[in-house]
Amino acid sequence: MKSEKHAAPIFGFAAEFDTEEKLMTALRKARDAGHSKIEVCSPYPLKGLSDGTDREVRFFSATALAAISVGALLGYALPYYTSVLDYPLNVGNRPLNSVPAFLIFAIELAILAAAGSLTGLFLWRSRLFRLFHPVTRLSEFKRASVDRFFLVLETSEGLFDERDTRAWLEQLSPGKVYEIER
Amino acid sequence: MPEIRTERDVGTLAQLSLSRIMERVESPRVGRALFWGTVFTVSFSLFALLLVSVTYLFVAGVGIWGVDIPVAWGVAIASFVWWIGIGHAGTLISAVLLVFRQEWRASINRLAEAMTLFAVACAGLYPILHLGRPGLFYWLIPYPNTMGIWPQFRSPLVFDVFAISTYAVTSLLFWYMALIPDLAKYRDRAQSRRAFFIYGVVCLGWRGTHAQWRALESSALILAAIATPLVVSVHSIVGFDFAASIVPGWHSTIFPPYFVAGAVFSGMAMVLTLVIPLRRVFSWEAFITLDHLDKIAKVMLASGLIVAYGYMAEIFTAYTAGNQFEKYVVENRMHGPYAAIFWTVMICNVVATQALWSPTVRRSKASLFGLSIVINIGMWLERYMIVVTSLHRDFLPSSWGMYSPTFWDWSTLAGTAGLFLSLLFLFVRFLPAIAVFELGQLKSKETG
Repeated sequence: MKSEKHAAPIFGFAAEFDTEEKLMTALRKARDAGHSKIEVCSPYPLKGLSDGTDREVRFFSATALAAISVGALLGYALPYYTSVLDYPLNVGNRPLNSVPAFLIFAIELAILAAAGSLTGLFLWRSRLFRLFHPVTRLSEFKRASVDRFFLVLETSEGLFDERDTRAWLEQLSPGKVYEIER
Repeated sequence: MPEIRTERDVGTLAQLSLSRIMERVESPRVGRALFWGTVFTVSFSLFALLLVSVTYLFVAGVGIWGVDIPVAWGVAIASFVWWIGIGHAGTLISAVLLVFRQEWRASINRLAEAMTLFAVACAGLYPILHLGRPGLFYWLIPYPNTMGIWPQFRSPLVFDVFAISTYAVTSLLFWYMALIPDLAKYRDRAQSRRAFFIYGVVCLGWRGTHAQWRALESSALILAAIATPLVVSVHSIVGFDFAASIVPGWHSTIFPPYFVAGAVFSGMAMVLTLVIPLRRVFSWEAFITLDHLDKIAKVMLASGLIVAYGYMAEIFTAYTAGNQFEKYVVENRMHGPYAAIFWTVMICNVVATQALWSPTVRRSKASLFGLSIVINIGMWLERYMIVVTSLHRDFLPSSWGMYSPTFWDWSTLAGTAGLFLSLLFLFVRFLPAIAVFELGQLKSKETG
């Protein structure tokens, strides 16, 4: 049951470009025009677009650091608990708390924890597992993964007007402008 | 650098359009069916031999192998070390070179990383098969049990369990993450509904939005930095398996670094063994150029020199440390019943490697391919030498003995090669073996 607000007949428009540069120019113009729900889709990371990349790297590093700390602590706690507290066993009169040996488990589990959390964070930040998106209804959008560059404007933003937006997109001289069904 | 034109003209990365690049990368999926069918049949037959060997091993026990006292570690452990070493080149290429922003890695990193995964799969089998009671392998994992005991955490054999499982999991995640955008390309170009469905699910709905690329690049960079210590740690720990014992010829502090250098050396050789024929058959010369082969050969030369240093250090310490048993191990290696192996190792890994100083050799596919095979064999024999010659004559002459592998030792080794190649050819056919999006990115940077 769609609410009144989302009853707009279409999801938005997708403009297709054949080069990275044209897409970047269009993106700049769209931003200048005040569009807010813009999405760009490309077959590879765009070299001219670095919005939020630094922040993202910092966010990923901070998460990795937290995971490394937790993993290292758990990795040390495991041999410490088992070999010092739970079942102390004297092997050749070596110290019960064998730091050099136990550090190896700390390192390995730190790496494992970081790898696991980075993967989880990547899946979350890139909104994967969402197998369907309205734009994938367009058969032309298939080329976005190979050799075409797309600019997608959504209807759900304030500035959107079906006719005006389409005309506006067309003056950016894209290869084509497609309507995306909801 | 002057371009040496010894290759057929297949264009360069800058000349090819994005869709042509995609077609080239996809070529194993659609073309070359006869070649693929033949090599896969051979590989899979060898894999079937592995299944037979392992079944017989499970029924009859490790007595079917040549191992006994004093040589309780034989072909199985030598092969374990060899396989795990091969994996290291993949991690070096995919992680270390990413951290150092070496862009040339783009076209070979995925293949090398896949090689890592498959080599680790082969390596991981061996310790379990070698346990004697493979059904009880889970005793190596710390879990609360009714016996109330835990694994011995001071033992390098338990380090191994953690190091190798961490290595396998981290490599798999790193590899899969970067595979997602290219799986989406396969989804979008799928010809059948089934292919569309399968690739569609495994690419997790990738669309290539800015947010997705940003997340992928950030996580890949940090993950590469985290995977970098693995290049060093895993084989160091395999080195501890030997070095932490008191067996003469094993008990040495040079082992961990020497093992790591050996791992990179043999791994790079395996990369060349695989890449040289594959680039020819599937016309990937535009992506994996002679420059790539040249760079891999340089890494191989550098790591080979460290390995040679390791051999010298072993001999030097044996003669200067004043330990008669250490000295005897070295003399026994050079003049004893296994002397032929020692000298073959020296010729393969030290003498033959010096050919790589010549730029002509480094840019000749035939010489590099031949040399890579020689080094693969040499590095396997090196591990065989380390394992066998140290054990067969230790402190007491009364406990000396000889070791020779049986048919089942060899069939298991051939079988793991079958497993490795079967996985590799399945990978090349059904998954994008070259990182297409990284090539696109590289092309876009080069053109301006």
